[in-house]
Amino acid sequence: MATEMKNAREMLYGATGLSVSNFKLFPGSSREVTAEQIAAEIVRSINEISHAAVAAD
Amino acid sequence: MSYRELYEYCQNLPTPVSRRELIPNVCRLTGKPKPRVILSGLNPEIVRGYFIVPENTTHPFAKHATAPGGAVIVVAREMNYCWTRFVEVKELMHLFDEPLQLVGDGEIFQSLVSEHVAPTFEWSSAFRADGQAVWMALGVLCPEQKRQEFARMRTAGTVTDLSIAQQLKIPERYVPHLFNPAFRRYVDGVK
Repeated sequence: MATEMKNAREMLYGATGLSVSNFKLFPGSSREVTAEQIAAEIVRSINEISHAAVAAD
Repeated sequence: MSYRELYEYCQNLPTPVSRRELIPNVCRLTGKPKPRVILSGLNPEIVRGYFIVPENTTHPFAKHATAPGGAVIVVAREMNYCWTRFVEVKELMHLFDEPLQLVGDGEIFQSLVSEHVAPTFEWSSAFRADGQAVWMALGVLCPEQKRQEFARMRTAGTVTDLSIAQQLKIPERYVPHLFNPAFRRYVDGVK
């Protein structure tokens, strides 16, 4: 398994991860994107949001 | 937990259909917490958005959910209003996902991503649900009476796809889908 996908699977479903019960995707505009790029982007996004403050409702 | 009820409710709404109407009604019909919507630094060339339900409430990401088990919808902020709105509504439709459509383990997740990258002729339930959600979103964002009115005008050449997109506040590239001969079959096929 390639690295970024392994990282994404660990982050979402691993023992110390998010324990995700559902996930869905809206793909980007590029037709040339790879699964590794998508996985890396999701990991980067989750890390960014994890460090962000919660917005008020 | 009926998309059909949401669809029927939206038939009487003015366009552009407001997310302030959609979100509380989706929550009411599904009994699920209000999803947190976050604009993120996603690269929209790679991922325009995603829907995620984090069950581990001790993880820092999960603090953004409005309640334990609540969904988080993440949308790339570097898109225009119509795109961010459409992505949000499409992901909102996943609150209606049925058990067989859930992506609850790493193998299904990896398969889903692979299918998005290189679709095959055999679709998994999860990938099918991702596609179905686009039709569901179009169904609630364009009341049928309006869709038929647009169809007549479009055939007569008196309205452009850009104008329809501007009136519905959806991306222009999704306007032709409203007039796909199978549109009714796709939308009516959702319970």
